Amino acid sequence: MVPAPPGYLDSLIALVSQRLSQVQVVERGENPDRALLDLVARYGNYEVRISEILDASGRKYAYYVFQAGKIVVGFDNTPDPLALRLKFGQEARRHWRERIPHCHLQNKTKTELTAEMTCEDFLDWLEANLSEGASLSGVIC
Amino acid sequence: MGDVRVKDAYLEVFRPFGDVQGVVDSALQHYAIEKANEKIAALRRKIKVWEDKYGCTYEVFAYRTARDEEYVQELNHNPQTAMWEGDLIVWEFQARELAEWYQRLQDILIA
Repeated sequence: MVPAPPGYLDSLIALVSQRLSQVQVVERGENPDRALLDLVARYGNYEVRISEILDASGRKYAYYVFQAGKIVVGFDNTPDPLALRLKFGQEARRHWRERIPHCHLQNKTKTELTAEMTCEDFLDWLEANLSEGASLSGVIC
Repeated sequence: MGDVRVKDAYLEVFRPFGDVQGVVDSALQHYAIEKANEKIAALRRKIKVWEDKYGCTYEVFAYRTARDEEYVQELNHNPQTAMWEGDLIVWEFQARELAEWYQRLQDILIA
């Protein structure tokens, strides 16, 4: 399996650049086994961080929006124990390495399960749910 | 084993030393070791930033963030570490790269 098709990271950066401003690639790496992208950008008054790693096991992502040092919303699929507990309850520890798509809200005081998300899904969500006037409590995953 | 073309000017320098293939292999080994060490040093510098920030190795961090809910809550509540998920992604890539470069270096040294 080829983890990232040729040009994948370039197309991802191009996609983000079309929809967000002040895009800065913080870290980028690619080889035949895996590809990494970590970038920061702006969406109106919000700061955005997009992190992705692609390898033979699939895609790990973290798409975060923050403002004045507080996290407005963060989508990721890490095997976070909070998300594992939400999904599996008392059986959570048996699933400890499973990737669980979820989101964090209200400066990470609230966690909800979500569907798997791509970077494009995240950008769509951003445009549909956040405007410069949005408040932290008004955000729903 | 692959075929590589070597410029005549270099071959003229190598020939007086005898076994041209051996000399080329030795030169390439020195160069490969130098490049591998450069790559390893660069990766170690990047990884040290994460190790200093989180006070542990990648393996420990990946384990704790997957197993220890209390630790994750601490990370989430600290503004400096609240976006640990993105850090974990970058750190994982660098840690795996570093392991592979150590392996390549070892392979070169025993070749």
